[in-house]
Amino acid sequence: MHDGVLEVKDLTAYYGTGSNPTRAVEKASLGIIRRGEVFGIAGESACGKTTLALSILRLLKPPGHIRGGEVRFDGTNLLELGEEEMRLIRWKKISYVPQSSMNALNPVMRVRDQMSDCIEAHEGRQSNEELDNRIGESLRNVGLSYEVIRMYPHELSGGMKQRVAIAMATILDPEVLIADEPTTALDVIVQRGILQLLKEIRDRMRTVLLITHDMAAQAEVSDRVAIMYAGRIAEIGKTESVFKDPLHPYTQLLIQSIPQLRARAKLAWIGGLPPDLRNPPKGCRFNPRCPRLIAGTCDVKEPRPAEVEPDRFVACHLYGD
Amino acid sequence: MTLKSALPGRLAGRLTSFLRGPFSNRNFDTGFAMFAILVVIPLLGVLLSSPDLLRVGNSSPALPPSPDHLLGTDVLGRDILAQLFVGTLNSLEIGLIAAAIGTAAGAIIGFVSAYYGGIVDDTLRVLTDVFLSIPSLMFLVLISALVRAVTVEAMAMIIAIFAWAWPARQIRAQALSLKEHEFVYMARLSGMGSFELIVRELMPHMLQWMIANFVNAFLSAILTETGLSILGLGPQTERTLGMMLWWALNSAAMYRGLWWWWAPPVFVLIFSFFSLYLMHAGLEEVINPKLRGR
Amino acid sequence: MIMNDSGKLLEVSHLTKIFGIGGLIRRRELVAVDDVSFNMPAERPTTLTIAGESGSGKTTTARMILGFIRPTHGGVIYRGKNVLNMNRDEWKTYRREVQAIFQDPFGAFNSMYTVDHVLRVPIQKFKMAKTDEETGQLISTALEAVGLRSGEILGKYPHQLSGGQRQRIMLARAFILRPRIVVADEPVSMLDASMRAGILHLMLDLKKKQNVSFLYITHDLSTAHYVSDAIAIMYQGSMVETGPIDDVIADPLHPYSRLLIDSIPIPDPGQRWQEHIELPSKESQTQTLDGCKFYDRCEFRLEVCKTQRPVLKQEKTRFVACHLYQTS
Repeated sequence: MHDGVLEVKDLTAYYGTGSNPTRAVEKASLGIIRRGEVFGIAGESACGKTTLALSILRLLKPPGHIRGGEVRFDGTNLLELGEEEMRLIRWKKISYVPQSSMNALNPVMRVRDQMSDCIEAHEGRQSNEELDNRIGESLRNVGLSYEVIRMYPHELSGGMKQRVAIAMATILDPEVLIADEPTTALDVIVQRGILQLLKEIRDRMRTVLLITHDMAAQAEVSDRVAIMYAGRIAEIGKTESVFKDPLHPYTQLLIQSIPQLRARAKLAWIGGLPPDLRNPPKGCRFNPRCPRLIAGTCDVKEPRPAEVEPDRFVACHLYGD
Repeated sequence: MTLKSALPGRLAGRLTSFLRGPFSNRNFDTGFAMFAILVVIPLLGVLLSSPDLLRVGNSSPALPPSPDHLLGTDVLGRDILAQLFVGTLNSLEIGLIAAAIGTAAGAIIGFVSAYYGGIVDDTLRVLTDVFLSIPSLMFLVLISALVRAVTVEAMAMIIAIFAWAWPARQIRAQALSLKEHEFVYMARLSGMGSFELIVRELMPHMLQWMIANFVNAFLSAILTETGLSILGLGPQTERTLGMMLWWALNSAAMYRGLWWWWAPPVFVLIFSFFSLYLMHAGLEEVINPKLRGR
Repeated sequence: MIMNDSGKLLEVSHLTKIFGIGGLIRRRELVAVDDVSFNMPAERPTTLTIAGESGSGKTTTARMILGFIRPTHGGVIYRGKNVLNMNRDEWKTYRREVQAIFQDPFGAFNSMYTVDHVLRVPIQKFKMAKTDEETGQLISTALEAVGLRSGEILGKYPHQLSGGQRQRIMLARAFILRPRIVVADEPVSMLDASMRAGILHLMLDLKKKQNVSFLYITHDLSTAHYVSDAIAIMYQGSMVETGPIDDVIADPLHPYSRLLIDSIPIPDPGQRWQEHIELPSKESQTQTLDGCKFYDRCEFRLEVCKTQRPVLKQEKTRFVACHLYQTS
């Protein structure tokens, strides 16, 4: 068995305080995430996956704040660390490729300077030769040629900028890489290249947290996947199991709504809208749209995650509980 | 195309919903209230007070504030409060005219530039950039010095020479970005002609910008007038806030400790800047929801 | 109308668009659309997908078909008449019969007005109702047809509704106008996965019930496959392969088609990508003027590909522009 590297338990994060905060993430547990796996967090817009990622790294900005839970990395609860100690972990141990990171590159600095700044900020000053070597290798790892080192971001295509962002996030060789929607706005073929890259990072015995709403991408890359809905984790399991035999009604509908390239089965869609998280429905947050609603239970009591098989969790009254 | 398309009932409805935006904003409301004070009180003051107060030798010179003269008198025996009332109104008038001309001219230029593109756009853009980058105060000093009898209206026109450039740039930018929006394409697909499209689809967006620009130009015009007047290039025969300061400086009011002469105009200037600034900030927040504190 | 209906509903013939970019000093030419030809039949409603990645020219092609951009060369011929040569009446007909749905469900609405605006204006401009009552009727029927309730929709501002609802309103608008062709530019790519199928089904519905043909512009071949009959794949302005969608997807002939189709992630963990692909390691500025545009990235390239631009030629059930299939 691989050893665990990150554990997320009952993480709760809200936006705003007072009487009506937006309950963006509610008691989310991902269990133990292992070394050398790609763990996917899937879900549609506003389900809380980015908030979850930011919470793990303690990068949530006010009015966002963490209300409770545990994030265990290497035995320590990250939520209990001071900011200074957290800074030592961020980027060196756990790093992050944010959404649209290709747009977050500094437009007035060359690639080399941005990356060397990053290294020196965490490891202190180093010789130019060393820096060049490390940066060169990092770029090579993402399939970019050494020339890129002296280019400005606007001279690069979207896919290349994204790879630079990934290079920056992996240059200090962190144990965990959290990638948030790494393929948005990229062409199909480039997307494939980026996803392939993430698999290579996993193959080097690192862990990747792949956050994306693109279920097909999850199917291609993730070893295990967690499905999020309205701030709660609906289901977790091995990607094959979740896709072949989805348990949670939301997961079932979600999988049925994805068009398959060579098949023409009738697609499903979910009527209604995701709930307003300032005023989420009582009980299970999916209950107003659930085709298998058990009146009296689902709209009253919150389902808690149950381990229906080893390593397979569902939060639904139809199973256990 | 017909103007009947803006049915009267609906127009009234749209006007109220249009105004609802700015007035629900705290900054705008505060600024507006302050501005209202700035207009109403001097107006009442001028209407209710005797014009004698402004005559030279009406009272003893250099009197400090007293129940007779709430803000004292200047070296020529004129009541300061009365001057302040008239001065405020005149400064506001200059601001209003300069801003109105500047915004209107700027909007037309900006709009023509964006809509026609090509060489028209290139030419107008160069013109706008030139007017934006040359030191306007320098030129205004020159022009003011050359113009003989400067009235309040003339002052406003002079300031307007430079007041159009910034609105032109803003409106052009806004119109350009709007032009590419899909709702413009939708309107064309719905059979709207160019003119109707401009009036029905683009104008409502630009109105907000134009109003914000107007407030900004207003602020800037008052500032410019004050600057020019302090240098002695203002409407000598009339009273504005800037002219009051010029008189005060020229009579060494600070040396002589006549604080009630120079302090009130300064205060009113700061007050008016602040009110216009708040209105502008409020309008920006309404136009661009991203700026709202969320 | 004055236009004929024999044969082709829409014919795009050697359509080319060249943009001049750069400032006054350094003007470069960008060939956005390069000699593109295809047509849509009049006898039955069809959905044709124009697929391609960024820079393929698909959006520019769509804009020319909608009459928003003038072609540099070639023509858009609607029901037998070139769009540039139409008289007033013909243009009015064309304007009404060729409609669009855009990608951004928010941007298509003027945020200053309620959503009613986008439904009322076409009714008024195309004189589709004589009284206010009739207008109201038309609108409610249309909203119902797309699964929306008037009470929940009318009077609201765009930001108060969801993306899915907004796209449905756009389809309701199309329903009212009874167009012959709807150009749908990435209509579902900004919607959540669980809402997409709803919109796609509405499109299929509209096609069946009102005989509307669709020009579906997208880079997402999975959804394309769900709604289309035929597909045309574009690469850097040129059409590289066209044909029935089932055939092209099952057996792509052009090397670019093959790469594109293979790179689509399959939502089935049992069918994962096996091959390793190489992404470009640096920016390649080469633009072979004469030869095939895909030359640099093609693993099957021949000597002739460098010097001669391939043209669309028939091969099995489709047309391919590739020297591998040109029988000399």
